[in-house]
Amino acid sequence: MHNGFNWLSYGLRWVASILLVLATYNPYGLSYYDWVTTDGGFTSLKVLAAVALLMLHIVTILSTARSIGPIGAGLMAAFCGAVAWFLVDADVLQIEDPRMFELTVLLMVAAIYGMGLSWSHIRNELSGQVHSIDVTDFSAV
Amino acid sequence: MPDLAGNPPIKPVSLLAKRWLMCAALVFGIYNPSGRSYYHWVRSDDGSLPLKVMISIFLFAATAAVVRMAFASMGYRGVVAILSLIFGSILFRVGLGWFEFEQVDITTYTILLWISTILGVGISWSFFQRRLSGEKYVLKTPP
Repeated sequence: MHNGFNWLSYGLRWVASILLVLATYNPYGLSYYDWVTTDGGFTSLKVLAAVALLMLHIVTILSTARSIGPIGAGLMAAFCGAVAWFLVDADVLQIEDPRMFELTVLLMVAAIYGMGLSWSHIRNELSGQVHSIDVTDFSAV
Repeated sequence: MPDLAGNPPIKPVSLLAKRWLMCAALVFGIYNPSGRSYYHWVRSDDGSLPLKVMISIFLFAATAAVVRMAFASMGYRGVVAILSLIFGSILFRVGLGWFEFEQVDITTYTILLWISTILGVGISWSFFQRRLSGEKYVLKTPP
């Protein structure tokens, strides 16, 4: 309404979080982790990719810590866990497969990332309150 | 990023109505005396346990978020102001002779309506403050 943050913006942040998490590690053998541990060569490129991924993770984690904090992350994790439980109970999700279990956990992490990136926008849209970063008294998060 | 320097025009009626409706849906969805609410559903045997836990956590998180946002904008003074306004409107209607003061019947619905009004106005308030005086409600970085 005021900054044009809508469901699509939230979806894009969520998809970007999923891509970031799954690109770093996923149980299907096509991720940065597998590239580093299995293939030889390309060391310089691997270091470059490591720095880039680390930056993205730090930015996302700090945004999440600032906007929703440990309480919000806990609530989000509990909600995702309950959704997973519901899907398991409905026989949609088979977590007996260890790869599927890992993927579920990674998607939960991605959901927390996505909400962490979006919550400041959502709060601003709903209530007009603005989250801020104190750069004068620089805090850890 | 939210535009801190900007002071965009607002549509007060739709702004307040949307947020008030959202809060009313949340409050009345969680509990109302008609027997069709989250409270009654959770205590009944319909629906599986995982679904109930899922909806419970969602409603808890949504309520916590809404109450925190409303209270951050209003504080105790705002709550007292809204309640005074509601009480004043009752007195005014009594004064107009629409009904006697003894006839005022405060039911559960009335209380729920008051709660949703407080939450709705609280959530909308910082938009009005920004439009009126140009001051923004800014949250500090958590320590």
